[in-house]
Amino acid sequence: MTDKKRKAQEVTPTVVMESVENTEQKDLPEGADLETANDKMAEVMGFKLGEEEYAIDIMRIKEITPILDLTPIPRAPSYILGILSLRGNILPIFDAKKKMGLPDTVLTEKARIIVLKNEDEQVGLLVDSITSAAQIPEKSIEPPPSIIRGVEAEYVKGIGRYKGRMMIIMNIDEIIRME
Amino acid sequence: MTEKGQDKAIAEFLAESEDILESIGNNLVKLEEGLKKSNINPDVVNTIFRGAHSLKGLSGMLGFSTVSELSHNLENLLDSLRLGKLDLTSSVLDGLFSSLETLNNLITRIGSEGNDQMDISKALSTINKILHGDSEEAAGKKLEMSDINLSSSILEVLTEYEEHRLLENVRKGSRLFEIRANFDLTTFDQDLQRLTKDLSEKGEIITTLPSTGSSPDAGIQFNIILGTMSGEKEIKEIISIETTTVNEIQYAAETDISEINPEPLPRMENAAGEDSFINDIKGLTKTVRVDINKLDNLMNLVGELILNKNMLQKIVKDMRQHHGFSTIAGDLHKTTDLLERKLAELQDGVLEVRMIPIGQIFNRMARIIRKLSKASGKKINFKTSGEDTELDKLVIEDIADPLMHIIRNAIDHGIESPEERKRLKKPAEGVIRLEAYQKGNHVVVEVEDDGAGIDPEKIFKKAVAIGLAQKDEILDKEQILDFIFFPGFSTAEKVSEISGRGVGMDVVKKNITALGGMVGIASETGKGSLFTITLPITLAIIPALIIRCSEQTFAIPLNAVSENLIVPKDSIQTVEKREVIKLRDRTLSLLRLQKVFGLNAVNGHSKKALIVVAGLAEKKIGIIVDEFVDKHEIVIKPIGKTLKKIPGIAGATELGDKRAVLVLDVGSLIEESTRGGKS
Amino acid sequence: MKRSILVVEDSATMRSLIASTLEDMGDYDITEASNGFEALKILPGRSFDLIITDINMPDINGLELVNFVKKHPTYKDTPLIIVTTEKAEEDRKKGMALGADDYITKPFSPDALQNAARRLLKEE
Repeated sequence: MTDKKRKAQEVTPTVVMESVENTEQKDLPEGADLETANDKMAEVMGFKLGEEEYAIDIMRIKEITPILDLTPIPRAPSYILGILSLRGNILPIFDAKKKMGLPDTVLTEKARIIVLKNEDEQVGLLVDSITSAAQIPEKSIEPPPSIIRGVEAEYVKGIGRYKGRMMIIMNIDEIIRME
Repeated sequence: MTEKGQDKAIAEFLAESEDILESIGNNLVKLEEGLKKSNINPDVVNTIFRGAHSLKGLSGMLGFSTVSELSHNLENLLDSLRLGKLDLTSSVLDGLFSSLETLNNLITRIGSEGNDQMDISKALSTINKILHGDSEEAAGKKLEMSDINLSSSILEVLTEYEEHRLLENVRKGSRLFEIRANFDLTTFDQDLQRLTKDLSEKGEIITTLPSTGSSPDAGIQFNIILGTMSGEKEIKEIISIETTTVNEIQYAAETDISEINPEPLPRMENAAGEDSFINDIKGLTKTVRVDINKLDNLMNLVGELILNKNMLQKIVKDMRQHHGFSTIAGDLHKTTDLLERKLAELQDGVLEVRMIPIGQIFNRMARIIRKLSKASGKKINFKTSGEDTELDKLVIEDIADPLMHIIRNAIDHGIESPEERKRLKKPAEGVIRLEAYQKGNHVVVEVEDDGAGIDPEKIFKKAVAIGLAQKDEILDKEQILDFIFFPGFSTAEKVSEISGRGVGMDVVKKNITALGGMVGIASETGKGSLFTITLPITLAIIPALIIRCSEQTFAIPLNAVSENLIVPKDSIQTVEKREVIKLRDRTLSLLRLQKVFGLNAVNGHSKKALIVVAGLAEKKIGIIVDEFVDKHEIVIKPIGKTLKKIPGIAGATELGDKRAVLVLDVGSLIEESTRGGKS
Repeated sequence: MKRSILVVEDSATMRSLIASTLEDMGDYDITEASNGFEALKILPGRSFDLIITDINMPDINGLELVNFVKKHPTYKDTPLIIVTTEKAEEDRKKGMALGADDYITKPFSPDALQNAARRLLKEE
């Protein structure tokens, strides 16, 4: 457990660097608590998988696109939905729910693909809907409990709170890793 | 310098060092050939010297002290060689080759580790032994420059090396001529090239000294000193330029010279028709070194342009369908056709830049063979042909390793020892033949040896022992030999007496398959083995056949397609649970993508079956499809690093409708179907 | 007007090292030639404030270039630095005798090159 905790702290500095600059330039972001205004902020993008709200580091996101035609890949693991051709790039699309062992949901027109930068290539992550971007004070992010409603701890970096909502901050590298 | 500047300098250093070492290697091979014929080209020695010299300077500047130290020592050795203080012998050559190898290792290390910390004491002591072990350093051979009647204006400009070459020419009794030529400033480069080419056919150009002509702003004069066995008349005859004068330079004491140096160097002569001066000028002014990544980017751009063109063509097609043959649709059609043609030219141009002759690799193999032959005591005659065959730079890079493995195997286990060969009434010298040639859209590389060959019986026993085959299975020879490419086979047990039979043959196959190629083996016990590697010429943009199967679209690289068949469904027979058809007296195994990829079966009502006959080299299969769609130029893109390589799929592409289409990997599909349940 | 420097050196890396060392010194118009022959082709119609040349080059070598420049009515006053190695003492002496204004020995420090260049460009 302490290992996981250290991991969570290790990843924060990159985010910190970004937000220090931002808070200097910008006025207080809407919804930020005054007392934590001087705190370092983690900038994340929130989205829904089933009932829960999840979030990932905004710096990792290249773009968000509606679901286009996917081409299924035979012999690929079940959490690979297929591939997508986006402006000449071919990217594999991961089904986060399958990967994390969450129950399947019916996709609506709100469903989106989050295109992520992963080293020098791109991958897509299918989510049920996008909620909002959020700035969460670093300090308030809690280490993950070992099990969050069926999701294994390795997929979770921590728990953040934003406007009274609970966001599960995802360990995205673990999600898009292949066994 | 800034840190970025330093990084850039190191990248340039690595690129240039690799070039230098490559050139040294090729020239050492030339020297070795020269030594065999006792005809050593001094230019080659000097070029190698310059290479070592440059490398020393470069590595010193960038703080790579180990490279600097070794190249410094190598430079000293080469300096003695080119100045005639040391004779070139095969042991000296061995030393040079081994230094080169150490330098190669050092440069590789800088590339991967960023430093050159390695123990080079062995290489250094080898060089020192050569340099100092040679005690009889031509003691009293001093022939003085003052013995030669040269004007001081020329003498004071000669470098030490040029002085040496001058003396060397005197020593072997050449006549010396000073040729003065006046050229116009605007054309002197071509004029001088022509003159030096003509002159070097007659002898050795010792120096080319430029000076201000009579009218300094319009002309330039060159004083050329030529050492030659020809007479004045002959020299004058070959000079076609009027403003040229020829004067013989006299020197004294001709008679004593041979006594002064009783053991002259092997005769050094310029190889006829080969003029390094001209080559150097051309080489330096007309070529550009380009980072392969930049070419890749360019290729990607071309690929995207082709996608755009495909989209345009689709629009034209739609327009015609919906709006008929209007003027504007016709114009668009014409413009698109023109775009297509120009794009094809652009693509060819970019592809051509990426193409390099396979000869580069052959030279590398020559050095490896040389080394292995020394180490094993087996005599080997290395024959090559088709060095000019061109392949994509990346394919060439990736084929070097597999080739090396095959050749290493041929020497370790194929070619017998000289004694053994004598006993078998074979010539003592074994032959390894490396040949490349183009065959349609492929390049075929053959590696053949005349060694012991591979005994299929032994292979079969081994295959049964490790569970690759059933004891009672009946396989033909080709199928049996193919087992050597199976993972785990080569390391299972020794086939011949020498250890490590077939090191990494499975890796050889894997690497070649990854390039979209195939490798096959034929062998005859006692007579030798033949490996045939079939490679695509380029990996960048290829034509493909687009097919549909189970409502999905796939692309099959056209270079793997030999024909399309439409046959009655009832002509498909089932033999040993496999579907086959008879095709011109041969049996063709069939493959259903639905089965291989687990797709939904679509029941067609047609009584015909559509079959794509696909294969590389000799192995072919028929892929049953629902529909032949079209032919298309495609750029194969990887499905993503996160997705491990999926057998049967080479990558994906897009046809202009923004949908990804999977590209079939015919090589691995064939493999799967021929192996059946065995793997 | 920008001052111009001609760098003659057959190693591309060494050439760009020399050029970037000079660029660190100030804003110059730097022309590169990959051998003596190329330098001869570049010279007509141009004037340089400084020439820096390697000695050991294929075909037209550095000594021949020094000789040419220093005897040429138009270029003879152009300052010239030869780049040599520790070992090539004979060649260096000859180069200086032919009229080279200074020499630097490989491997050289940026300072050595910059000092020599500054002195000859009279920028000290």
